[in-house]
Amino acid sequence: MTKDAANAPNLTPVLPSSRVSVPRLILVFLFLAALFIPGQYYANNKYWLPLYSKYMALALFALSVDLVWGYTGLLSLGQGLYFGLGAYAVGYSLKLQQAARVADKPLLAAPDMALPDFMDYCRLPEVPVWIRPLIDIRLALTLAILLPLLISTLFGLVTFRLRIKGVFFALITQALVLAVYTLVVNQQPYTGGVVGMTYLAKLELFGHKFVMTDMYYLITTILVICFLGCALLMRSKFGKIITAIRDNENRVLALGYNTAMYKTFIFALAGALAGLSGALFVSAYGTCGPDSLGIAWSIEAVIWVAAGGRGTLVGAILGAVLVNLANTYFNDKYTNAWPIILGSLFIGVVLFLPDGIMGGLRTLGRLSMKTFGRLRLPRAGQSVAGRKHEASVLPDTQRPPPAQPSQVPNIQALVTDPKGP
Amino acid sequence: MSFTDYETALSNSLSLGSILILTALGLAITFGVMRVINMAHGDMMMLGAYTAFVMTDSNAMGILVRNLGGLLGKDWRTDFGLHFNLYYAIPAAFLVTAVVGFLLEICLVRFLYKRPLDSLLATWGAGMIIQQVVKLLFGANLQPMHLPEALQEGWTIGHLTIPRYRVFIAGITLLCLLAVYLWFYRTSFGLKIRAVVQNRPMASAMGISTRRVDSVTFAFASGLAGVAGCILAHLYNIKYTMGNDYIVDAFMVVILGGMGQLAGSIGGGAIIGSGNSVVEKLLGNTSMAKVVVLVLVIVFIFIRPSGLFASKERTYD
Repeated sequence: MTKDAANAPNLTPVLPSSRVSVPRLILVFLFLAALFIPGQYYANNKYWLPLYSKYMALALFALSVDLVWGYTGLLSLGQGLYFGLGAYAVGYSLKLQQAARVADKPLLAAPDMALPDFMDYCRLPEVPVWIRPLIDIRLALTLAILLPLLISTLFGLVTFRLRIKGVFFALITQALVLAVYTLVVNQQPYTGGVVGMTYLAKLELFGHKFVMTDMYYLITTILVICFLGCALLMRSKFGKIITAIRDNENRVLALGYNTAMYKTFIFALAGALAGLSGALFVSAYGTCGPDSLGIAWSIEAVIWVAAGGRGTLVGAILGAVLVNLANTYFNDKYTNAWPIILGSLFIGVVLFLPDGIMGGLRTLGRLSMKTFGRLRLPRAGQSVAGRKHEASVLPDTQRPPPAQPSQVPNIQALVTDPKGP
Repeated sequence: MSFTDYETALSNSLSLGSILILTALGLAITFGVMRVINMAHGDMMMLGAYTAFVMTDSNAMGILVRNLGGLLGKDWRTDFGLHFNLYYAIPAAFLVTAVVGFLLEICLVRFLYKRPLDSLLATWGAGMIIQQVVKLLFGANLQPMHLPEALQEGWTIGHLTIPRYRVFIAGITLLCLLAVYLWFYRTSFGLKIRAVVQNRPMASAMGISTRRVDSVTFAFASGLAGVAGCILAHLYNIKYTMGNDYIVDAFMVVILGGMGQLAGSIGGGAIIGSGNSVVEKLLGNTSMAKVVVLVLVIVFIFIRPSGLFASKERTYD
């Protein structure tokens, strides 16, 4: 047993601390502010700015993966499904608008509306009835969020009530995404097949056309809002229960929580976020293809999060941006080397850096605390007179559990214990 | 759907089912018994297929040497080529993939036995590297394969023609099944495997080298994937991404059959294989058949999460 415990992965549960430390808060806000820098720096760069817009949309996708995998411990290899639903909803809309512009027709759903080129190639007589209303971008954007929300809720309800989890959950979500991919590629007249939809119109909302800098700021603002929402949620009691489910679901069940509903909620939320990110990605990228429904896409999204740091929201964004930046850079210079580098990243992160960049930074911070901060800090269990145990001063591991009685009796103490009884 | 359609579907399901069983058999050992997710299993198949390509096609060596030279910036050429037939390629494929599987185990999988989800990610990465290396060495083109003459014809029974190769595939599958059965249940090494799976610390205390058991079992399972790939290569063309098409199906076979049950994987493979062929005949579309079967399997797993042949176990998870 002791040997087992020694061999167990060094994944110390990172709990959201009950008090927000001021330096950390400042760092997070600086990080969020830094996300806006490329919009200024590359303001007139037609190569890099759209790429950064794309990365920001993908960072939102990484947030969704992080909620499900990093915080709840459910490895979903099918987040690409929800991303793809959002992407195709907006893709249809922009494609129909483009076709209408070319044919000089009004942007209205009508039986004689302009046929997009891929439908034309496949000799479809008219735009199918279920695609027509999507020409209205407001409807498309609403659907891009609601449809993934609905499907992930249903899927979550069924799987989590049946207590399917772990490896089975991963493989079932993967099978589902493969089924949808095969379907989409096969139905070429309706979806554009392997190529998908290209030459999309620019996103136009409330009479304003979003291009270049506007687009970048739109996506980054949405990303920051979602980040703050997720951060608040994960710091709340709900977030604690979610992390507790990750670390030991049986105990949370035994404490009387309906874990299936908690997991369904977080899965649905992540589905909606993924749909939104898919929609933004397509409007930034100008192309909507079935790649995002492929198996590889969903697994790669997981590795962005893993590289940045699972279970931290900053890490998800950082990982998504850095890995995709590396992707652009290496694909440009050494096309053949990129799969090998990415594969090595998978292996390296899992073996050597299971908590990702954020985990590495945390270890560094802790080490420097030990080396430089020893004189200033009170040691654990030895409180300085007149000074409370401040959450910000003590490293995570030494922090005493919060004393205030809550509805979750001692759940922090319970979940920090890595093994069972 | 006419009578002959049924017969064709039956004959197709014979080969498809056999290949799925053979692919899933390796996974049933690594995933079902050792509980580690090897996403590189499909790429092991691909390696087996390329081994067969090198063994049987006399141009293959030339391509390999030229690409290798190209990577190193040299102009290498050779006319040398192996020209064995399929019967030699099968054991060669087994050996090559078994060695690669062995290396994969001691370098990577060994550290991840207690973290199945992480093993999934790491082996996916390993699979990407293997694919890219093969792509660099053999090019991205489809490579056609040639059957030995003895297997090209078919036997005619009444008005139905069964291609000999499909029967050959079923035969190889049966042979592998028999080998696995004997190995697992009739040899002392098989006893050790089962002991390690049931209770690792206890087996270790009894003097069994669990590390050796792990790596040899993993290597054997990879070897089985190599055989499957070698056989598959002769049924279709080979490409460096061919493993991706089968990996999800193979996992579904193992889950459908029930974890930890070799017999379950046989049942699962037969059901998915024949289901695919029948639905394909009904719909007249291979891709749609795949979609329908995948969705049906997912629904089935929802209804019976423990699979067809569930092994009874009580665990605190």
